[in-house]
Amino acid sequence: MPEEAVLFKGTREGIHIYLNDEVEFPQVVNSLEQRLATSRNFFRGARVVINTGRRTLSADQMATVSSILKKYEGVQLVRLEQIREPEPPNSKEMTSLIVEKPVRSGQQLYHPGHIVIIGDVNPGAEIIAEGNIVVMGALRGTAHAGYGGNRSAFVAANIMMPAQVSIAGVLARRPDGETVEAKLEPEIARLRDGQIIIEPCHRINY
Amino acid sequence: MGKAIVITSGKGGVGKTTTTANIGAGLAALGKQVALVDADIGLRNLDLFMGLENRVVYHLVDVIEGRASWRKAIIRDKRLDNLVLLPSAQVRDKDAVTPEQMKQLITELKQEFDFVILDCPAGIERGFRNAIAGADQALVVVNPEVSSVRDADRVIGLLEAEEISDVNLVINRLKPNMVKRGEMLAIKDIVDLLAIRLIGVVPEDEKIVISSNRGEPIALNQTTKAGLAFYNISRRLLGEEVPFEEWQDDDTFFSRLKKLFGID
Repeated sequence: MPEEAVLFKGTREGIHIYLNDEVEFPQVVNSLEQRLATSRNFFRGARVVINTGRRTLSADQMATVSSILKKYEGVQLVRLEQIREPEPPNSKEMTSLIVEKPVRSGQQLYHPGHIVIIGDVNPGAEIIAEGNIVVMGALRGTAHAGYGGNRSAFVAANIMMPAQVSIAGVLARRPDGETVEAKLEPEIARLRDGQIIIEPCHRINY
Repeated sequence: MGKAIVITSGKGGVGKTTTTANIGAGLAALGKQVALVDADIGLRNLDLFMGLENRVVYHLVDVIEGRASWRKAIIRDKRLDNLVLLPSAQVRDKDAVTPEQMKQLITELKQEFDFVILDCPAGIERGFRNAIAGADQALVVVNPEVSSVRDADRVIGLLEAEEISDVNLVINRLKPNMVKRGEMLAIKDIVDLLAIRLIGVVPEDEKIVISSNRGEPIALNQTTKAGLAFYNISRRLLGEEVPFEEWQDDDTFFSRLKKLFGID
């Protein structure tokens, strides 16, 4: 059975109207008009709270909804509600996992916070952190920082030679064919304007 | 109580069986009681390298399944009295044995021998698990190629997970001239990446093929470069401090000429 496009609920504040965010908007509008028409008396002089679920209404969509409500005398729109996605956890509150040995080919590390490796990350190894990744050694494998959407996460390594680096799902890989000589200085990979930029740690501008 | 050493690599064809045969022969030549165990069940090779193929009657799976005692199954070497081989089965596969059974057998062998050397199959599956089950120490064999080094890295990780922490590196088939020209991974790069102790470097040597085909371990002939390298690995395994051999490829006419004039 398909879920209802529109749901009414009476509260102390007035009437809550839930607009189902999984139903196409025009269908929601149709359904809203029908339901209001069938219970015209019920809404006379009512205070109304609109809840749009996870959907953010555009200005046009908002105008459509208010014009429908205006057709009913005395209906007063008190508030517009929306379910907010939980904020990604602040990277400062994350815990750190410290690994004191090399991470070898075929090994995978995941931590819902930061990962610090005292040693190398070898080709074929994979590091996944929701926060930052710091390699006190050579990074030659794959590193995913900001796993889960933290776009301010970074990957730093003493020798930055990764096969792939990704931050919050944005991926960069080592260019083909070029034999990139490892810089013998610590480097950091960050997300800037939707692209991964690798630069020396000591030259970074905060 | 003796020590069990597994010879492993991950990748196939890098010289595990050659290394097993030669280090075993080297240790025996140095006076130790040595048992070689071919743990590559289904692909029996070690008996060929030792020149003992026509003496195989019972094999590893026979011992595990109780059809023969290990004393009955082992074959004594033609040259060295203190060297024996427990051959693998050619007609069975790796699933015929469990890691627990292997561990039990190796423990029994360690009571009688100073060294039990296990020739591990390629791969990281059941056969590998069987071969490392009873090992106290591991020698990882690599060729100076990226794929071999990558697989060795994986294997070292798996050995560490099994708490075999005494892991040593053998670099096999090094071509000094190619390294010099930058066409092959250098020893230092390999050791840096794998971060384990280097116990020996064996240069590419045509004489290895000849000796393998003849079934005569080259370590018994220390006038060859590869033979000396393997022999020295055996000595290092006994705790001797042996300096690393210099592998300058000095066989070319020009380098000999240079040496003559003192240019090199």
